[in-house]
Amino acid sequence: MLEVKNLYKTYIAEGKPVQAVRGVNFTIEQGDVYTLLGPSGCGKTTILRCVAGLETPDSGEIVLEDKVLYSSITKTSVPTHKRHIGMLFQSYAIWPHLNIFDNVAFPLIYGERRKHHHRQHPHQHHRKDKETIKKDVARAMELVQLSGMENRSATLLSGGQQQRVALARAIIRQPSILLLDEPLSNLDARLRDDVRKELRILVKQHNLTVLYVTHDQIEALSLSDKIAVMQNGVIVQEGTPSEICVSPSCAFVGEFVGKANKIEGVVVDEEDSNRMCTVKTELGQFKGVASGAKVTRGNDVAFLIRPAIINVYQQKPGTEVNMVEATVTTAIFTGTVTEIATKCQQIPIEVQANGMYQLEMEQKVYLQFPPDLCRVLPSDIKDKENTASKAAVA
Amino acid sequence: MNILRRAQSRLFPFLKPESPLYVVALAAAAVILIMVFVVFWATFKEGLPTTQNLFSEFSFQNYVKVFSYPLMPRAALNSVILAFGTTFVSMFFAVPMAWLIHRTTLPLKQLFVTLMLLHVVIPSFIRCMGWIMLISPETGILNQAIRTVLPFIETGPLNPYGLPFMVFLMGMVFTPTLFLMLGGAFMAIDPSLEESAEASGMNRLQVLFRISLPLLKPALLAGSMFVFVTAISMFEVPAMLGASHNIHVLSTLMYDAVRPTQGLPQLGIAGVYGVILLIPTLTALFYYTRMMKLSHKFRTITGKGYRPKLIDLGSWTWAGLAFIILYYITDMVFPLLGVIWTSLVPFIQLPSLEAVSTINLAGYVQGIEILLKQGAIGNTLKLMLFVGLSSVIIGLVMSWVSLRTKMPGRYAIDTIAMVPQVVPGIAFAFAMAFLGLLLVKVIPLYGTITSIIIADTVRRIPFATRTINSSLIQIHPELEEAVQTSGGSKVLALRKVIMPLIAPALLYTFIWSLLNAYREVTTALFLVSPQNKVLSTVIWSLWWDAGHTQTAAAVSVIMVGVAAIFILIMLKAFPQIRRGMRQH
Repeated sequence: MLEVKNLYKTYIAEGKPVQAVRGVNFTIEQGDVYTLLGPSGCGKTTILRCVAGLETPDSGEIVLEDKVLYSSITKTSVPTHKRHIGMLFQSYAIWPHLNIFDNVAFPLIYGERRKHHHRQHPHQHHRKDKETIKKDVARAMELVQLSGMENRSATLLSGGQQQRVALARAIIRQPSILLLDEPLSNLDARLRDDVRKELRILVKQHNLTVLYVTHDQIEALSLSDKIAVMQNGVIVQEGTPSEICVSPSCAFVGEFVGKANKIEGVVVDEEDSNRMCTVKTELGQFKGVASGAKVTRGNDVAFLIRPAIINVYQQKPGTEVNMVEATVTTAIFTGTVTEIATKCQQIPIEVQANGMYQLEMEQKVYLQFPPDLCRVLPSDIKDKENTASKAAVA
Repeated sequence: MNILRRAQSRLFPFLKPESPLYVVALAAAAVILIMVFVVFWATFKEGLPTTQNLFSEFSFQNYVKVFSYPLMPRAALNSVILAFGTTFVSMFFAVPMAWLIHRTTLPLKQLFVTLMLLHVVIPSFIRCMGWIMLISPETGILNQAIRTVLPFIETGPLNPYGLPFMVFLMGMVFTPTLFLMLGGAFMAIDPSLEESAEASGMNRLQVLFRISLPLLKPALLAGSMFVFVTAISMFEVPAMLGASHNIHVLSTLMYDAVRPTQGLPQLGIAGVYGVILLIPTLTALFYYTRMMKLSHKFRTITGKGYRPKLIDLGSWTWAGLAFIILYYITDMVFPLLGVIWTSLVPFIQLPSLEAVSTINLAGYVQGIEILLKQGAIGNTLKLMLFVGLSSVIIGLVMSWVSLRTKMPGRYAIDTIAMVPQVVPGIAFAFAMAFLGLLLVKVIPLYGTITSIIIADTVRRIPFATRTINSSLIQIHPELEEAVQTSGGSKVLALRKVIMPLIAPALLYTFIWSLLNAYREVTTALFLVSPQNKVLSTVIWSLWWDAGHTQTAAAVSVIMVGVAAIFILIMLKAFPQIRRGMRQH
């Protein structure tokens, strides 16, 4: 469907070249929602804009449905308006001087036609007639639940409605791929949840192929079939939402997707057949499962504990495995869970405990990390540099 | 259309839909550079330009002649005095007026701003004529009136000829421009900066002089630099109030060289004056950019739309009103009354019962006859329409290419578009005259209305690109990208999205350029021929060459009246122009 091969893109920012994308490869299957997830500046938007043709890569290849959109080898670069795409912009980009109908119909009236349309209507391939356009627009408006609002002014719409118009406009040409650039970031929090669910339903019902760019892990996890987590211009892990969540490949992914407590350590006992290994940390020896590259004895690793998996005891329990003693800093009950901030020998550890816990400040608690849910991951090189520089400063 | 497009994509596959626009932008930039180059190049050529010796026979004779010309040093000094004086006088009027109108509770503000816009309908040379009619030493109406009251005065006492009145009049002429340039800055001062000064114990005057005015320094600098650069090459006022009495500035010497009363044009010598005029202009620009680099500490003036606190003038309101009203009386009422009265009577005389009995419309009848005979009305309309259109089109294309494409050379295009702002306008008129003569056998431009259109358009490009740039920047790029991802080309985005959205700026550019072409006399005079007479040059030659005072005054009244009606209709029909004008 969409294939991106070995993509590179350098920017000049304030006179200095910045490598925004450094060798990215991925494939999106027909009907899949593929998400590029990462912090701002990781290159995800650049990739999307390269696919759209709004940016020209330095090198690489982009192929959509067997049509080469860009190739540095054959020196091909199809201009944006000849790529069969639909795009939803962060600002929605609703044309304020046109009403809703004209906004949505614009791609049909002025857009370049698909090839097979040419074959179907050899004599009128360049423009659709008015009736067809009306019908198509009505259908698209129905899809985004805005039926009957065609003649309203686009500027009088709420943010959520504008976004629906933008979506209708993006899908009306039945593009081969729909490109979504942080489409939910301008909506207020409550609306965002609703739109996210609707978007997933709509996309799946109509079997749309989507390239989705976001920095929001919840959007990524709930919308995608596949996620590529990006850092500094490269994809660090690609997988289904559950793979990314449960088996992060490195500490960066583990921390970026979902909350996580991270403790630095060294491997003392190698992986067994279930990839279980033992890590020595400041807080003692812990057992956990390796989910990234293979680790061996002596490796520097990050030991990752999700706040939600931690068991909290007010009295010392029977087991000794992965057990630490901590002091409560704050405990806030948020309705379904209690968010407990603790400190264990000056290292903060956050806990999300189900139900209501009544804890005093400075109270002693016992935290237990179930070994099969803890992750042992190769530490990021960047992290090491950071600790080194911090140490130097200290 | 489609066949053409398909043929184009087959024959020139490398051409994109936007390629023609690149060509327009590049061509416009090339014309500007060529014209500047021509000024320099002409100075090394003797005699009339021919295509035979384009790249040979260079000499320094023109420089030698100019620098040994006895009138030259005094003229250069006069130019500098005139430019500084004009800047000073226009500051004297514009700064208090901007403060009064934008920062105080003065009544009648709306009227004053409208009058500020109406100011442009009186071309400077008609103002000069009005004042000559009022205060020329012997026949001036005001002088006659003064002498009636004070019979012991034999001549004068007022005299329009000479530097002092020139400085005063040009200062008045540039006041509205400066006022409009300062307006934005006056409105953009963060009121909390002033309030905190008041809270620190300063009184209002101290706040004004120690806080507000220093914060406005960049805007004042930019404005005064603009006035200086324009004033130093101003031609019409010094020509009317000086050259006739042997008081010369560089621009009048330049005109004499291009259009000598006897003998052939000495274009090379005119070019040297153009080059000399560049020296003070570039010096001013150099100091301006250096000061602007130091001005980062003035960043407190942000683009945010503050609503500045208005100061209640209290019992001083009358003084503020008097200041502004006095300005308008001197700027518009006096010269207009002079011209209107002169247009009705056979010779300049004091208004009296006897004089009223001689009132006749002969001037108007004759004026209209001459306009019709010389085809001036058609030419003027052509000039206005085409300068307006081409300024908008070229301005839009240059702005769009430099802001919204990734075409190589787009930054250069943006810079080149600003060149006519720095190069004296009179130099472009000269360059056009020179090119016209040079290419007379290749392209028949010499003496045509087209040559005036080209020269005028080039002079409007900085204004057009700045106006359109500031409007284009506010259009989110995603609105354009959304057209592309909807299957439309960049050109379609320009046509269907950008142009409708920045229509007010385009309209404003169109009307302003068209009005400037209408009132402009310098370019038209440098390029005048029997075939390309426009309203302004008809008046000029009636006054200057033929001495038909009454007819010249009558045509002037027609010219001002038509412009006033036009601008009032435009303001009524498109109120958004007023907003555009305040921004610039």
